[in-house]
This record gives sequence, C-alpha cells and structure tokens, in this order.
Amino acid sequence: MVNFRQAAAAAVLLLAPCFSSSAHAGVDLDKIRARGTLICGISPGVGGFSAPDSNGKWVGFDVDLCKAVAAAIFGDGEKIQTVSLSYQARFTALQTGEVDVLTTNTTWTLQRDAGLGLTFTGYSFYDGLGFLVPKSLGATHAKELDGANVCLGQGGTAEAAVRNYFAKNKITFKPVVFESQAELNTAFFAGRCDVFVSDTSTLAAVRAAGTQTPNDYIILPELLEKSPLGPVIRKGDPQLFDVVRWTLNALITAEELGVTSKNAEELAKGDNEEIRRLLGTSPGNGKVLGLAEDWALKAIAKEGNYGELYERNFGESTPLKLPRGQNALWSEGGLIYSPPL
Amino acid sequence: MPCGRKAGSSIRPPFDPRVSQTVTKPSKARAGAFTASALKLFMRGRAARDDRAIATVAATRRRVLVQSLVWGSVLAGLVLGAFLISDAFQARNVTTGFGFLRYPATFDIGESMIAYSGADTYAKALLVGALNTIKVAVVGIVLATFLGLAVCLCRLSSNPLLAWLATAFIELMRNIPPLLQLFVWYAVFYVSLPSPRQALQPLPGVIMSNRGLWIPSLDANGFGAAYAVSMVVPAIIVFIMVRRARSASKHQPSLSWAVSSAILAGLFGFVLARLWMAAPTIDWPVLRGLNYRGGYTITPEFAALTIGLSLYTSGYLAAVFHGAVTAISAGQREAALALGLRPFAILRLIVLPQAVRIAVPPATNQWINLAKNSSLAVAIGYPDFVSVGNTTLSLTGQAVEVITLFMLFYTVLSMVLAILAGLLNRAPAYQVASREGRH
Repeated sequence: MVNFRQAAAAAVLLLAPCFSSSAHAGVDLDKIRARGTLICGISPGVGGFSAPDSNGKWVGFDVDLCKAVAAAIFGDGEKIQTVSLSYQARFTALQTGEVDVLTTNTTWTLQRDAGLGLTFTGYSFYDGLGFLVPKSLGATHAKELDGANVCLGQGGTAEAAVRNYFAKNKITFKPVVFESQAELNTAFFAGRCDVFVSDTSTLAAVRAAGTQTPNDYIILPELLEKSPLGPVIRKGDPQLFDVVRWTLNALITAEELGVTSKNAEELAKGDNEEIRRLLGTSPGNGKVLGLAEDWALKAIAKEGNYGELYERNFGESTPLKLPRGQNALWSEGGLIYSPPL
Repeated sequence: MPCGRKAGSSIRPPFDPRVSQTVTKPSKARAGAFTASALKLFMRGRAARDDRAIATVAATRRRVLVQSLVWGSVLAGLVLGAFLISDAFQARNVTTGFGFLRYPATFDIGESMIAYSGADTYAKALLVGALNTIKVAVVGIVLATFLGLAVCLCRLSSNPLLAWLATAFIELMRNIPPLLQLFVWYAVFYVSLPSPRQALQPLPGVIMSNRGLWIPSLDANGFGAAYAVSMVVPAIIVFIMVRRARSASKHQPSLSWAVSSAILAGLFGFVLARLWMAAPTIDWPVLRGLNYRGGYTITPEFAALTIGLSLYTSGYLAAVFHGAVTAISAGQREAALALGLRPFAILRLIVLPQAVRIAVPPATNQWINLAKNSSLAVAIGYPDFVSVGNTTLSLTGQAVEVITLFMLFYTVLSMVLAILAGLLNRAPAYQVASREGRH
C-alpha cells in the first residue's frame, strides 16, 4: 500500500515547477509578445482616465498610456485589450496574470509597492486626496466639516487618510463606504453624505458627470494626502519594467523637446541629436530595451507626447478643465521630470 | 457494496445491537421481513449465522477503511492545496498568512455594535462587520417570518381581493432580484427624507432625516449591567414561581398572570436598584455642526437592507407557509369546526403545530438565504462582514485569506441557523401532533 506521506511528497515535487518563479528575465514580456496583444487594466469608468465614448469604446488617459506601451512593444498601438477593473479587483487581477499592466489611477504607496508582489514603474500623474462638498453646506475649509457624513469608495487610500485627517484636526466624521462608484455618485448628489473624498482628478470627473449642476459643488483647497499615480506591473520581469518606465519617460521627454504626434515623423529625419536618439534614428536605445529602434517614435506618433495626452483627456476642451498644476513639466514649475534618453 | 452479501438475500443493513434501543415499535412490514430472514438463517443452520456475522464484521471494517482513505485524501488534498497556493504567492513576493489580523486597521466603520476605532486591529474590524451581519440577519429573519405568515394568512382568506393582493405580493417579491430591491429602498430613504438641518420631528426627540432615524436612548452611565441584572433576575424568578404555583383549586395560573407578575417584579427591581445607583439619563439627539449627535440611530443603510431583505424573503416564506398549511387535510379542520372550535383556536391548536413541522425545513432554507443575501449590503454602503472584509482586502492585498474568512463565517452562520431551526422541530408539542398525524 502506498504510504500517503510519500505520495504527498511526490505530488509536491511534480507540481513544484509550475509554481516556482522563473529566473530568466522577460517572462512577462515574452508572454505579451507571444499573445500579440497587451492586456491593460483600466479604471472603472472615471471621466478623463477611462470612460466609454459614444461608440462604446473605452477612451481616456489610462487607455492612451496603454496604447503607447503597446506601440512601443508591437509598433502598433491598437494591439491592446482593455479590462475595466473595480478598485477592489485591480490588484488581484494583476497578481494572478489576468492583465499585464495596470494603468488605472492607482496611488503609489509602500504597502502596494512592496507587499503585493507588484512594482510601480513611474509617476504618470501627480494628484492628492481632496474634499468635494456642496456649496449649500457653507464650508470653505475642511476643518469646518465636524460631524460630516463622508462618502468613500472602497479599495482606495481615502479611508485611512480621512481618518488620519479628522483625528489630527480633532473633528469627527462618519464614513459611508460604497463598493460601486455609480451608487456612490447617486447617494452623494442626492444628499446622503456631506462630503466625498477621493483624488481631485476623480472629484472633478465625478462632479462633471454625476450631476446637472456641477457649479453647486466645490473642491475644498485642502489636500489630505499626496496621491501620485503611475502604471503598475508584476514583480519579476525587469525587461517589462524598463519598457513601461521608459515609454512614459519618452512621452515626457518628447514634450520637453517639442516633439508632437504631428511633427514626430519629420523631426526624426532632422539633425537634432537628442531628438534623433529619442526617436531611434540614432540606434542603440531600442536594442538594449529589446524593442525595435523606432519604439519611441511609434509611441509618440500614436497618441502624442505627455502634454497632448493631458490636454486631450483633462484639458480645456473637456468638462474637467484641470490645470496642469503639479503635472506641468519641471521646467515650467511642475513635477513631471524624465531622465535623459 | 459489501462483498459478504450472498446473491438473492434481501437488502438489509447488517445486524447492529445498538439499533434495537431506538426502535419503538416495529411496523408490520418490518416484522414480516424479520421473520423471513430469521427463517432463512434457521434453515441454513448455525454455521451460516456465524459466517454472516464474520462477513458483517469484515464488511464494516472495509467500509471504515475505504471512508477513512477517502476523507483522508480529501483533507490531505485541501492541505496540499493550501501549501501550494501559499508557495505560489510567496514566489511572487505576495505576503501570505493571517498575520495581518493583528495590524491596526486604519479605517473607521460607519456603524458598530461595539466600541471601535481605526486604531483597533483588523480582527476587531472584522468582528464589527460580523456583528453587523448578525444584527441584520436576526432582525431580517424575525420581520420576514411575521410578514410571511401575515401574507400567507391573507392568501388563505376567503376575501378574494385580499387573496389576490397576497398572491401579487408574493410574485412581485420573488421575481425581482434582491439587489434591485435594495437599491430602490435605499433611494426611497435618501430621496424622500430631508437633510438634517430641515429634519422632521414627529415626536420630541425623534428625528427623521436622510441620514437616519434618531431616537433618544437611555444612558445608564456605566451601571447598565447592574440595572439589567436587577430587573431581569427578579422577573425570571417570579415568572418561574408563578408558573409552578398551584392554588387550592389545582388551577394553574395562566401565562398572562405570569408575565404581568414578572413585569411588576422587574419594575420593583428597578426601583430598588435606583435607590443604590445613579439614575439613568436620557440621551437626546442634538444637532451639532452638520449632523445630529447622541441618542440611538438607525441608518438608512440598515433600514434599507433590513426592509428590502425582509420583503424579498417574506415572499418566499409566504409561499412556504402556504404550502405547509394547505398540506394539513381539510378533514381535520372540518372535524375541529364540528367540535365547536373557533377558527383562531383551530389555527393555534391544530393547524399550526402540524404546519410548522412541515414548514421548518424549507423555511430554514429561506432564513439562511436571508443571512447570506445580507452580503449585498456592500452595494448600498452598510458595513457588514463582506464590506469590511473588502476594505481589508484592498488595504492588505491578501485576497485568498480574506475570501477564506468569508467562506468560514458564512458557513458557520448558516450552520448555526440550521441547528437553531432544527431545535424548533424538536419542541414536544410538534412531536405529539406529528406522531398522531401518521395514522
């Protein structure tokens, strides 16, 4: 009769290779190449970041970032598949391999970077947690919100930050936590809560889309906490890390150098050495990244540089009208900065 | 199949000396089979009886061995699975294990039955969520059962309009998905009621706004337990004494006597305690800043969840009770009427005891469904176990552990409900009725 312990040990040995982490770099990038499409996780319908347009296709900042990375890898920015993930499910979806990269408006924190088996690749948007209140409340400073009912979305950094802020200022509050953003919007604009706390970009998007009278609501000047957003991938693939990080950097550098989606092709043939190196006319960058030499040219030509991305999704032509603020280039007083290519 | 069985023998369990103690009265059919097999044994002789005994023991041993192998391998498979999953996550640098339960939770919870703040552990936060779920489940089950019974009686009434309304209610409640019903009830509360600054005050101290219902509460200033004991203990003692008392005419005091004496004893106990301890004060809800503070509050989330789930489940329970009541033969009702019993007495003494026994298993299903459906609370902002667990999951990233806790909690909750409902079946009144009903 087979000893059960021996059988168990044999089963573990047989199945162990399926679960051991691969030592060779680029395992995720290889999978993406083999599949032929890049699967990106995007936000669950937040205006500006990801929202379906009138044809039902998802558009937004998240989607544009995804297209840029796909253009860098495949040369074709349309080879993407977007998966709209709730704030609850996004990290699990990435951990288990359901998506390759998470371009949602995810806040970079230590717990998320070090404790989930994931890696943040760079800062794509500098934001902060803010308060959205109706003007009828008469509050102009967050410290006047004693006893407020605060609407919060589950799965974000807002819950802990709100508690810390109110405790620090010795005022009380009562949280009302919703799983779905849509239900939260309905409840907040119907008056169930006094305040809605989230990233200011989300607040602007919700105010623009969730009510007929956006001018009756203001975002208070105080910020509870920093909230830098960036794309996330799984730990363990340094090649994919470099590709995603340097794609973002290429978009930022393109804005610094004045390269736009319209003039990228002709500037590539010019004789500015920095631009030639960026766009791949002077070879070398593509080789070390494991990509075609014109990876950056394809990424920029697809959706434009960082400034164009921002303008298209958050700028004056949109209902959000977010000023560049901290998201301006470093040379113009903001925080968007890229190492040289 | 035990291999010791000879071809052609009747299918009977092997003789087990313990079984005979629970058999109260062998029915005629069993007596016949017993005689037949006893005859066969006699015909085959002593040797056959011994063979059969040996074969039985061997068969039992084989069965035990097979079952322990099967269960052992299932258990081992689960443990192995747990280890493999844990290894897979650790290989990807994801933290595993339940250590996170000791970390501070860092988030507040909207309503809680025990004192809780964000500085407490995740374990305490989950406990708060569990208590909230149990509160909704208990209140919901009670409401749903009473409502279901009422609707069932309406459906059985001879008034055709009432019967039609009850049927329409049942169909409506059963066919609309519960989540939609919850959304509707939630919207009703925060749309129809005013904001706190213009709140309705139907009675002094009772505030109705879209943030909740406030009522004044008693604040015992720390003596709550002492007051409770001094009121409850005399009440219970007096109740038991009165029920056991026999007056000279051997007439047992009725239930209403016992209850009223118990209430008087409780009040007497309260007066005595008041002499020793500070008076409990009334906590009036007061508008401070943006909202009311103090008193006892029922939030729109709790109200919507409880009302929505109770109505939804009462549709099913009404159908269950209806089936149970109509299963009692009409002959019994006619016989009771012939005896001169009034309709309500028939219901209470004859129909309900038997109907309850038929209704309890399907009703248990519906009660367990209500307890599990309470997890829909996360969609309308009520902090039940799943909602708190979801927040824990997103803050710690440990999905597998949190989902395991979900499964354990709901399994235990459902089992406890099933056991309690099973106790209902064992009440002596129902046993008497059912045994006589079997003739």
